[in-house]
Amino acid sequence: MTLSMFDCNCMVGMRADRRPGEPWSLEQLRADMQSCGIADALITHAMSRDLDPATGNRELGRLLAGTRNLHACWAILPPATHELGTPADFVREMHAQHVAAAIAYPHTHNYSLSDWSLGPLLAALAAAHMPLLLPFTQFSWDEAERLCSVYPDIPFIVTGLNYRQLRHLLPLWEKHRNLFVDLSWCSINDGLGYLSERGAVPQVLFGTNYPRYDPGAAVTMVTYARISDEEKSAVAGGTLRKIINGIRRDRP
Amino acid sequence: MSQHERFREAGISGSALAGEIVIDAHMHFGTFHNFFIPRPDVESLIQSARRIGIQRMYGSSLQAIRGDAEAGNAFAVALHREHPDAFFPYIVFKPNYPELAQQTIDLAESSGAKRFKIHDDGNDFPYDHENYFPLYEHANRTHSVILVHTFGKVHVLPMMTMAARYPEMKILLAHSGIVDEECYRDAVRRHDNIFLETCSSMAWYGLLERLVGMAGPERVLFGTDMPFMSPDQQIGRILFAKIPDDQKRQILGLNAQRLLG
Repeated sequence: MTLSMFDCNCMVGMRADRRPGEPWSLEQLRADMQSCGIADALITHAMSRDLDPATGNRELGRLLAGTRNLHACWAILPPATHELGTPADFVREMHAQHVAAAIAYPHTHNYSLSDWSLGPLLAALAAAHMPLLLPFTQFSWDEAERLCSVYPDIPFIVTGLNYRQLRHLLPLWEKHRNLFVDLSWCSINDGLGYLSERGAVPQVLFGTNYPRYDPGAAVTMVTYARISDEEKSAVAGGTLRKIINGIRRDRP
Repeated sequence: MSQHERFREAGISGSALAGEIVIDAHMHFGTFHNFFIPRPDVESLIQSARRIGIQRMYGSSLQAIRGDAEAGNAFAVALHREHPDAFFPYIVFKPNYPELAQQTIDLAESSGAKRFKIHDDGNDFPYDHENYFPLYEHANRTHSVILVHTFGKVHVLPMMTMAARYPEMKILLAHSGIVDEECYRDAVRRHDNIFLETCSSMAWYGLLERLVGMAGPERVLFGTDMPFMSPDQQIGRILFAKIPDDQKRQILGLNAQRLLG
């Protein structure tokens, strides 16, 4: 069967921590997607992480204008600094530009995920059912548990989770189904086969961590997995498309 | 079809590599202390290998690496007897049990395994410590292979010294290029008895192509690190690499066939 791959963990732009040989352009991303059979990608801009979210989000909008298979993901900040406008204005602008997800870098950008800091924006994202990406190095498991409890309408997508985290992840999945993970580093032997038996495959999304990683490694994690064709289709892109189609563009 | 289409197509379709020699030069048996491995059992390892098309697995016991080398190595040898076409043991040598050094070497001789694994996890002995010398002298005399766990120059630099001192010993550097890429390049350029193994949970962009550039396709060997990592992931790094199919064949199995027997 042919899978319609939708990469949930992808970045463009020149990065502060780039290793020689890693690409940064949209043209190279397109070529690598085509080579690996990847149809769609959810993309953040390096400047949204490495410089400042306002600049990076704006640049991403310019880069992706007119594209149909490349979907923007904007970085967030606490509303109190007014760097990204009010929560309502920010989410309205996301809708206007067809942004498909948000991403938080609380460690890198030096802020708290607690409600006294981010609460008003998280409430606006929750009203819109907007997915929020949480890179693995940016939060604690206790913070993730609290976010999933308090904001059940936000699909939280943990990106770059390493293969040694199942003792944290499985207890969380017993409580919360609004927590998703991307596959890019979650590479334990027969992981998807095992999660299928636990009924947890609907929580797993195809992601590559491009351009840090070779995208082909994540592709074969899906294509060779010991799961059904239906489950492969969901992991490859079906679940992410469902999440994005669930965004309430009329909110706020 | 371009020269790297056959394997790329297999990766996209998820089809087993029928008609190809595919050998896993680096895997393990057993469980581990600091994270959950859902499928460490032998049947699951065989199943995972078969989905890809891996015919032979060269592995070491995690029990031997983490503690009881005697029991772990005995398990690995017995597993080979039980599955003589599928599993082939590396005998784990422990520098912190010097009183068992000769016994470990004797087990390798009696079992016919001219392969050893060394790993500093838990013992922190540098690879140029004198407690390793009985192993290196044996490996040098018998032209045995030593698979060495590495994470950059802290491990590779001592092995370069040992490679020069024991030129007949074959050294296979696990996780090549995972960090400090330049030390792996220097190791293979300076020492003909050093080879590179590919497995890495972090699938660095373009690393496979760079390893081939450093060592030539004839000195790079495919490995999975099962059951830590998934062959499903590790195979993708080879299948989609921007190198010709004949080089992929060397990496996937022909080199291991030559080096590991």
